[in-house]
Amino acid sequence: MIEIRNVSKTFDDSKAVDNVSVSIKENTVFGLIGTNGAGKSTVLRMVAGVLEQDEGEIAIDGLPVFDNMEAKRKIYFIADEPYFFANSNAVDMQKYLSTVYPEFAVSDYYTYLVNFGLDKKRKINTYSKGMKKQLALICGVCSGTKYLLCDETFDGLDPVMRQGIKSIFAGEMSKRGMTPVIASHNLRELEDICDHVGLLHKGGVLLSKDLEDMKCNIQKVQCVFKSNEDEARVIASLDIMKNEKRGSLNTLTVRGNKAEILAIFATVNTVFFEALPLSLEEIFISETEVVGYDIKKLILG
Amino acid sequence: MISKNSFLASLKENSKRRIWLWLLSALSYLVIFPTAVAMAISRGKRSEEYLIESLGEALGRQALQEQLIKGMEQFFGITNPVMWLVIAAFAVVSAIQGFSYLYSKKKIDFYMGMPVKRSRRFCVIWLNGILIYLIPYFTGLLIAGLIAAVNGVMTASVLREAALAYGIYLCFFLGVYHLTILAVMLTGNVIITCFGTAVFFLYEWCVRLIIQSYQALFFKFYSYSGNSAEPLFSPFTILLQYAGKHENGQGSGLSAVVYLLLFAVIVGAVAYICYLKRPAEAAGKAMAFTLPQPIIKILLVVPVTLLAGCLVSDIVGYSPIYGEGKEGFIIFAMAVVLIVSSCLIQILYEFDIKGILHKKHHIFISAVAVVIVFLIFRYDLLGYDSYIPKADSVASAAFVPPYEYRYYGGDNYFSEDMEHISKISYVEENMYLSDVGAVNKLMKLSIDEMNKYDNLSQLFNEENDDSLWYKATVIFRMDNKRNVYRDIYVNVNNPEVAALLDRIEASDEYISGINMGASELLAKILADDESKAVVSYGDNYYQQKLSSQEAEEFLALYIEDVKGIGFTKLRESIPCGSLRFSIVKKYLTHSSYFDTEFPIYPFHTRCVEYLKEHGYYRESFINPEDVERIQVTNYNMNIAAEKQKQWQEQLALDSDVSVVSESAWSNLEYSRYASYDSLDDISELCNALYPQDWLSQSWHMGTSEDTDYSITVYFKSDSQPAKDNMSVGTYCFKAEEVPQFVIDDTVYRE
Repeated sequence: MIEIRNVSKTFDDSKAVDNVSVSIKENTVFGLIGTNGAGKSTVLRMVAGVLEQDEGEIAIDGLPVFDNMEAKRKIYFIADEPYFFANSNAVDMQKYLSTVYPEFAVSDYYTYLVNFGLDKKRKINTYSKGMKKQLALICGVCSGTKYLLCDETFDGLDPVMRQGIKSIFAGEMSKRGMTPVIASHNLRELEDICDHVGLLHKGGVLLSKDLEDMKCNIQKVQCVFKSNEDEARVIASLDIMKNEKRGSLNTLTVRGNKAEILAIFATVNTVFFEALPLSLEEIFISETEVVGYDIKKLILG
Repeated sequence: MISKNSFLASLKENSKRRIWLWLLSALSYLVIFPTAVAMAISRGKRSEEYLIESLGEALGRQALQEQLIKGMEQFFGITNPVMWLVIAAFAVVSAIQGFSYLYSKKKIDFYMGMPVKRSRRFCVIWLNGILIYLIPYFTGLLIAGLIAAVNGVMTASVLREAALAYGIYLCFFLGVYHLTILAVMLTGNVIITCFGTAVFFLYEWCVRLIIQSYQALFFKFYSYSGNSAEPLFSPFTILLQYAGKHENGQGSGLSAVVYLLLFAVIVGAVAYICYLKRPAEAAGKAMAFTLPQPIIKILLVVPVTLLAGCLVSDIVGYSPIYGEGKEGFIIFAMAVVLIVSSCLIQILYEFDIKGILHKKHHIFISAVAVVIVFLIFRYDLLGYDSYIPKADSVASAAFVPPYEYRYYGGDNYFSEDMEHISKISYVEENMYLSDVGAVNKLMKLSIDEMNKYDNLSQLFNEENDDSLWYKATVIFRMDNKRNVYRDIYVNVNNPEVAALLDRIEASDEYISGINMGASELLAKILADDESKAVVSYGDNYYQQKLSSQEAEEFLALYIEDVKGIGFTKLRESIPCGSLRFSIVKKYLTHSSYFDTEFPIYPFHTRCVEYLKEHGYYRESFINPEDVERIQVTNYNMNIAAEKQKQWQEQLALDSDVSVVSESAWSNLEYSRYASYDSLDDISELCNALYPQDWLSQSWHMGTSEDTDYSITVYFKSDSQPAKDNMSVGTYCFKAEEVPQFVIDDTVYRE
């Protein structure tokens, strides 16, 4: 587990990370979301042991990470702009990484290269931006580390590649319990990958929750009530987070267990009733509105 | 088998990243080294024919061999300045290139995210940088050595020089390399690193130069002697000193090597600590650490401001010790430079023009520092000019009189190994006065007398008719091994000063310390088979050669005669001739030439007696029989000055006197000349004439020449001077000894 406790980091006069505390459980895909400048990269760089925190503690499986080789052997960090040696190709990178990471999966590496259509002999500086990101991900996955830290790595990847990466992650997670931590400023990029999400804003953590928990606890219902009395009774019985009404059609975002909510609706007469799936975006909108933030302004742009 | 994760594997991987530097190094040492040796041998052999022709078969071949070996020794040895530059350039490039990943956030994220210890990464890059230099150098040396060996010029001495140079150059490389690594660690951008490296190499030298300039500007007794701007903490200086000592065969130079190595180790350790402490976020910034930023800024701004003050003082002719110029310009220029340099550094720190307005308090702190330093020099707050070392803390002293033409060799000094050296160097090496009290007292007198005047210009003012000031240098060798140098002003007309000068100059320590003729050096040269010395007695126009035996005998008498002769006696006397040495030191392929001369006075009784016995002594400077005519020019300077004064008075009274009148006065010629060709006149004149520079060039001369007169002697074509290509001679009259008939003939009459 990665434990971040009351961590702060200041660059010159500006506080990039302010008293952040997050726990990242093993064998989950953790999404770190925040606007540009929210402190995502700084948190990841500190977790990777690149930066040293000014205050607080960061522990990788109980080990402090900064300048601690034992802890760092468990981490592979893919920066927002991944670096590859000048004039090198994928083979050169493999050779180097194999000297640094003893568990480096060489055969998997070349299999992935073929699967992703990356030419191992081609110079990396002639790759496209997306190809470089794919290669960086392959390097990270094959390094054999327990934790894979990805900073904006998925931004710009096409859906097919995203699916490919997702299936690799799933495979590695089931095979050796890999824990990817993915930072992004775009919520939609993480929607189909993450199990757990932490929202960073202005250097601090707004929330950190398991996606399933969030999904289970918030329901979206569309319905047309037969009478105003029915409508009033339901609204009074439910913990409504949001109610949009167009004509007679009510779209309700409700906090609570799905079965309980359905039971309440069963007590009244409805002309039309349907329980809708919630997007990560909607969950976030709802959650952050509760704490007084307009998530649309923060993340969705 | 080497494991993948081993240190060597890391080294190999790092080498791949630095392949172009390996190639450059290989190209430099593997190509240039052997090629240059082959070319040097080939060039040397081209002179074979000439050497055999000029020296004969056996000697010519020997000369060629020696020439080639010497060339190889210089090429492979540590006195090859081209090699210094190449090595220093490699050290700088290798350090910057090796640690350049610290400038890039991308690279930092990559490397520092890896499970590789910082210490290990440092060691890999550091060692690789050294190997990039060492391996190609050694290989190039080996190939060049083989080429030299094939040509028969790889002797034990060449091998020894090459091995020595390899070791010393490694120390030198490490010094420069570590200093540059330190610059990299303190900065976050390659341009600022280059700037920082330059600061490391030049800072101490600049500061020393500024201090010396301020001392010269504000201190009356400042002496340039013994003050070197060479930095103590520079691998270049240490190598230079070692090379100098090695070339002159002065000891093993082990201390310099140890110092160089120690310097490299200490700087390397500091650079390593900085590396460990360096924050990753420093990449791309000007400075890696926040804490030293203001200190570095102030340490740069203060000398830059002081340097500006120095330059402006030179431009506006500001010289407080001579009472010239005002401080206004200098203060204004310094204020401008202080603000501008402080703002510029802040902009560099922030890489933002808006930074110009930040940290204004640094300007204030720098200004306070500049004012303090300026005041220390301006008002001599540390008492430089009033400092007289306590006699009991001085081991020995030296007194160096001002420039003395014709006396004790003038400035034509040379060392035992036949190298030209300065008078100061000779004195530093040879004069150890135990009578420190006399030198101390002389200095105190000088300070006391000088304090009567506001500035040095007043010293040489015409109103001080009764004083005659000279600048001399005193050296105090302190018990703590430090040397104190001062240029003092002595009024030789002050009886107390003259007495002290007598006390100093009459001592054996003084005479042997300044008079090469009184040392054993010349006797050694006369006995040396490889040196040819032509010794003669006479003056500029009449020279008589002495045989070797005569020269040896005469020199022995001279050494006895100069003992105990003090300042006053020399001052009251005029030499009757001088003993000249023209020495040629022969080497196989070239020769070195040295000239020196020593005045012989009438009171040098043993010498005069010897000259008389051997028929070399001359009763007068000129033989009248040799003279065709003598032309005397009287400038009538007193009359000219009087006339000028009259014109000025007239100008003050009558405003109508135009500028034309002024120029009309200046065009008037007051000089009058007369020519004498009768033997009687010539004989009378010859008795009153002295070779001109014998009367005018020394502080010993209380009896000076009459500067109103200029005398040109035309020798007959069959005379000895004319045969020696000196058909015209310049002479002078001693003051107040001008023959009456000359005065009558040449005085200005309206």
